[in-house]
Amino acid sequence: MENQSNLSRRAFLKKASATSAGAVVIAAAPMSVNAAKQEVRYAMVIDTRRCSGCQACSIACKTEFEVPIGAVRSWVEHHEAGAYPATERRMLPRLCNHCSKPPCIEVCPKNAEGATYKREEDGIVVVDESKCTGCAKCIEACPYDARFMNPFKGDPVKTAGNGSVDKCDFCLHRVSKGVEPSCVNTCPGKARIFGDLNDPTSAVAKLVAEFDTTVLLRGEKTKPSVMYIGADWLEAKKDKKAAQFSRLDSHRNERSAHRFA
Amino acid sequence: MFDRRKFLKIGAVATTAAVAGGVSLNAKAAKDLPIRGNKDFSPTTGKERKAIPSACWQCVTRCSNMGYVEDGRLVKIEPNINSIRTGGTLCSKGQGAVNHTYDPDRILHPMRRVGARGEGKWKRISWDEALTEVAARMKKNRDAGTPEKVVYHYGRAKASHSKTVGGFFKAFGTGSIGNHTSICEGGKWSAQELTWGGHFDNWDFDNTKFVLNFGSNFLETHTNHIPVAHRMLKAMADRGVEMVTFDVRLSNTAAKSREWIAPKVGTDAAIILAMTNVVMKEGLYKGAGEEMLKYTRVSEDVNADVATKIKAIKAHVAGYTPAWAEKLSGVPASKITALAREFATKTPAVLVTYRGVVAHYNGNEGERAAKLLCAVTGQIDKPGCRMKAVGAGWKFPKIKSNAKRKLNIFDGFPGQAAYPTHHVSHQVLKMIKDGSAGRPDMYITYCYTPAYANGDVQENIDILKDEKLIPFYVSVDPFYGDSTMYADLILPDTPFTERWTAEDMVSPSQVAEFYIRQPFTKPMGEARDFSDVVFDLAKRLGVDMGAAKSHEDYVRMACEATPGVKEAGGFEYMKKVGVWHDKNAKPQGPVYKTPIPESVYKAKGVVLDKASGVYWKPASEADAKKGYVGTKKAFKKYVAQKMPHGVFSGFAPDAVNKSGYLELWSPLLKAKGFNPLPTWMAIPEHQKMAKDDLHLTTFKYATHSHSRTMNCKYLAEVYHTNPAWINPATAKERGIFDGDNIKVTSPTGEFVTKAQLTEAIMPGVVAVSHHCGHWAYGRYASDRRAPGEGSDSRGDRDYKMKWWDDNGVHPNWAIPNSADPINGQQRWMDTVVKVTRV
Amino acid sequence: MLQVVTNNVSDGHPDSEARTAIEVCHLYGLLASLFRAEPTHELLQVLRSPELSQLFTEAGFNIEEDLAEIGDDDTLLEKLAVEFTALFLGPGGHISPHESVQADPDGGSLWGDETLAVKHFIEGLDLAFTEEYTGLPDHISVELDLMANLAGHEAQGWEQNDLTRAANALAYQQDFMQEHLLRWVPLFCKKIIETADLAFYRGVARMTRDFLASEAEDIKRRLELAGPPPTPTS
Repeated sequence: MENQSNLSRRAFLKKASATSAGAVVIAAAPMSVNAAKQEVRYAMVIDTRRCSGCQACSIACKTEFEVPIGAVRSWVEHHEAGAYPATERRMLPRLCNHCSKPPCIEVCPKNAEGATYKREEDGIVVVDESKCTGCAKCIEACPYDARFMNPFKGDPVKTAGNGSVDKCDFCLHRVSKGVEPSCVNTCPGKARIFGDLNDPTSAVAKLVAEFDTTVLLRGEKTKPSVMYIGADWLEAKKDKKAAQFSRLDSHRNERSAHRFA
Repeated sequence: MFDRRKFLKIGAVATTAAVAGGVSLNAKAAKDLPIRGNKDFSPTTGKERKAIPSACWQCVTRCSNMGYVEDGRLVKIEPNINSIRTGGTLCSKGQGAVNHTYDPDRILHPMRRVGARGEGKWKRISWDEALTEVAARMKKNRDAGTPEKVVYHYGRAKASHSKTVGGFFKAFGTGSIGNHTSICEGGKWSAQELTWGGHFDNWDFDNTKFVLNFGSNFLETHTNHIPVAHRMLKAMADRGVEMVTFDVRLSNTAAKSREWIAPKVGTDAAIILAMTNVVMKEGLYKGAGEEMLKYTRVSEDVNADVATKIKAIKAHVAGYTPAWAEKLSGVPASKITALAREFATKTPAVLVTYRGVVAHYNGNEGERAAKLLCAVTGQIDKPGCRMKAVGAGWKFPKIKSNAKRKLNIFDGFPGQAAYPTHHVSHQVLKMIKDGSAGRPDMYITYCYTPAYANGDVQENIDILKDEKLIPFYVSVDPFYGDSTMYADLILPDTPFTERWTAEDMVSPSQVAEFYIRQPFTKPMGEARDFSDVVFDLAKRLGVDMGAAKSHEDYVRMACEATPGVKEAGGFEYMKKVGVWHDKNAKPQGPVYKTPIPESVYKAKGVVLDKASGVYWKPASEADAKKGYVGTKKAFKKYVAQKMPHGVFSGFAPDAVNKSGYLELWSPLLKAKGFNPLPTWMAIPEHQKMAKDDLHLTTFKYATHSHSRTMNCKYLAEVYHTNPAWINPATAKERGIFDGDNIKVTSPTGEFVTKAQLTEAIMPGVVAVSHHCGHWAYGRYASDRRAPGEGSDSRGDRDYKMKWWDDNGVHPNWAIPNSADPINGQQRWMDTVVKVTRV
Repeated sequence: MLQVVTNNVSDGHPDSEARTAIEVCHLYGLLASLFRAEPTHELLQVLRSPELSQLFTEAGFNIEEDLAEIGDDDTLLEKLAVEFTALFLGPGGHISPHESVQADPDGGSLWGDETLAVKHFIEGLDLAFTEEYTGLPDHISVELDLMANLAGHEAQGWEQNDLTRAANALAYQQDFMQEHLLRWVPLFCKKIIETADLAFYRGVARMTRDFLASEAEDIKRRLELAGPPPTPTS
């Protein structure tokens, strides 16, 4: 067996094309490879240079989980700024940041029972829909707006029929079987790269070493596991004139505006 | 009150009734029921989803894909990672296609209209009844000696679908077959056929150093979208390749470019000609350009040497100075000059042109100007440049054509377009109304919505509704579409997730990829793939479809007959893997330089046509006397091109009688009164605009195709409404604020939409996307309930979650059906409008 | 509230239970064919046969009257076909005859969880769909066909005095009635009664609703009579 300990797409492609067409499975399960017991920290690097804002990831996620209309686990924002003709539009794919210090978990009244927690073995932040009461405190606490109510999930009694909280889980059901997340799999620009940050040979670790990466809301001390290449503009001081000509488009935001209107 | 005893008595005598309808269940084995509790033979959990390689059809790109099926239900569509075209990626549209299969408004049974056209009253009929009716009507026309009155009009039929469905109608005897290419990019293709022969071009982003893009939004949508988009994104990130994009609007493609330049609408051709002027003036043609000119025709004299050609081009473009182009386009002369230099020196470079250039009155000339600029910089059909595209050459079973008659309604009105090699489909309904070229007795649409897809929507609807103009309208459609609602008979087609096809779309790697589409699931309800239905119809009509018995059969035979695919394992291999390419094949490079041996061009029957320098094989003495250019379909007899430095395969013609040169001086255009060299043609409507008139342009958003995706709920959720983009300066002049309702009016019609004030569009233009404003096509597209509605509907849990009620507008109500005078392309981008606050 | 007269139905003798089961079987079959497609000429003839027509009237369903209102046979078949299409097929809004759509009060999706459950139930019985059947597993006509099939098995049990066999078939009927039919068909019928233009389909819906309600009760009685169903040995 090759010493493959990451979910790099290249390795993945090689493996899969060596076998037959259908089975999208990586030979080496990421968690079982390193001989020395080492904590895995799954992370995603998003190379915005490779993102054209095409929404393939949004739809991959939507179909993977049959996410109800009105809710999104993964989405793309289009940030427009600057006065004509110096107008720019930047793409910002979004998902749960799987923070190292997740504020959402702290506020959960049922966190001791495991309604939502950060998995020790790989750092993925998950919701256990069978334990969630749907109180929505975590939705408010998340500074990234990554969580939502899923009316079709959860224990009808515990949630009083309101549904459970839901969110991105890095496609745990795929990743645990050695298959990369659905959004990563489909991305035409290969802008989303997924793997174990603690493994220095992984694609994500290499990218983080090579590039200056940005995280969303660095000041919040949430320490996200989603890092961006080519998104320095997020931290640039807002130019007053530019701000005058800015608009943010995403169906997620449109939906929120609609919801709160 | 219900009396059980009395009721049960009915059961005692109703035995015949119970059997009359036939029952839906069979015992698998003749044995007793299994013991209760033994239900777990078919576990629902922990089962791996079944993966089926197939191909997409959401847009004409037709990417390879992989469908996942659980318990007989299609649950997910992903890329096929083995495809060399797509690099194992898939766009949002392709994945959203799961919604097609389970569209709550899918039509699952043949339906016959019972009310007035468009009223929405239907009766389910059996397939047998439906096909009996269709066959009888076809037969009646054949018996009357007018098979051409059976008109088959498709929107998309490619590869084996085209061969079988189109093949059926031709074998039946009608040549009245229409397409929809003129509302797509037919003009681009015609212009390429006039110049380099061959309609498709590929942009070799894998090997390029610079991309100059006029009017293509290929990162969001394109004829070969994902295969080129993923290559460009890679080139940009991995190799730092830069792109400059000309577009009136900041598309996502423009946004990813080094520079976005907005020219005045319809002036791209002027800029390209001015760039050529710079190249000629500054001697940037030296070297590669001179070499290319050996194979290029720029004057009447087919024996001219390169120096003479250079002189001719210089003379032709002398007036097209950057300053001249600046006046027309608003793009600074210095910018045009700098980009011309960059394009000529940062080689190999790709010149991209698409609908921003070709969907105009002067589109043909814009495309020909692009070929000229590529020629003088030596960047034609060369790695890293725009190249002749390579598709899969299947060996398809033959279906013999009997089409000897056709209605002349597909190429526009007489004189409307000089060389409409891809037809003028958007004028078909108007020509039926006019009637001077005859009218159909039977109009059959397949994967096509003429009412919605073309301009002048109101007229389209009026014609479709008029039984005097179209006595019988059959729509083959999986959904209750915007045109299908006016049909007399609906034949429920399968969505592509339930079809077979042997597919052939071009591969930007320049190595052909063979791939197939196979059903993920069985057709739902009574839906049937029309390419199977035609085999059934053929039987009823005694039409010979050749050796195949069904479309699956046809695909199987193609797999077993096509070299390479056959050796790899044929049909069984393709069903398992989905794609095949020759791993030892070298990317196809230039083909025009291949020397042709004397034994070929001096073979018996081959003659030299002196005027064009073409070696060809005239069918008769008379044809030989008429000459190559003047003989009908002479291009089919082309053998080689004589040039001063030898005889070569050249840029072989494939649709018109062009020479084997890269023909930039066109005797064909000259014969029709156009300038034979690429020439600036001002757009008539734009010359007489009033001060407050604006340009209306259209565009596409990444999650949608032109007209067929708004019923996909996940795609509709991302993009469902299309406010008009308008620059704040332009809006201010009209007192329009962001979100205001505005009225867009043209001589053709008007529509009301919301204003989206954005700095991402140039002043003087209003841009409205396609996709939206359906009046049918299911609840996610239109919220429309057809008449005969019950208290609920075949719904899904998501419809009640639909949080938007603004389904957008359709700009085509205000866009006329008009045509490029050379190639007939619909002029999507030429409309002049008035915009007012409501 | 629906009143159901269930007295005087059976004397508990296996022979009369067999007769009941056969009648039940045929009734399911009749209702299934009424929901499967628009009536054919043959079916119409059967419904209007003097014998059956009389029985319908006695049972409180004036089918002959409902049909006579409409016109001659050709008009009738045409009108019934149009009504059937508008009610159950679309295009556009209609009352989906599928459990997975109806089970969710807000409209579920085709091929939903219920569809799978029905499919598995049927497969678990070693039954398969006929080749001609191209619809979904949870179409009302399939569910009624399934009950007819089970009632047929039950009848054989009674006829052969094999009470275990009858009980087994009854237990399946009970499960399917409770887990599936009763969960959606009453509401489905209510919608038809509220929507249908023709009295005929309102009558069909009423028959279906009332028959299922009475069967739900009577299955319990027959099951008690037949004794406990067999349990799996392994």
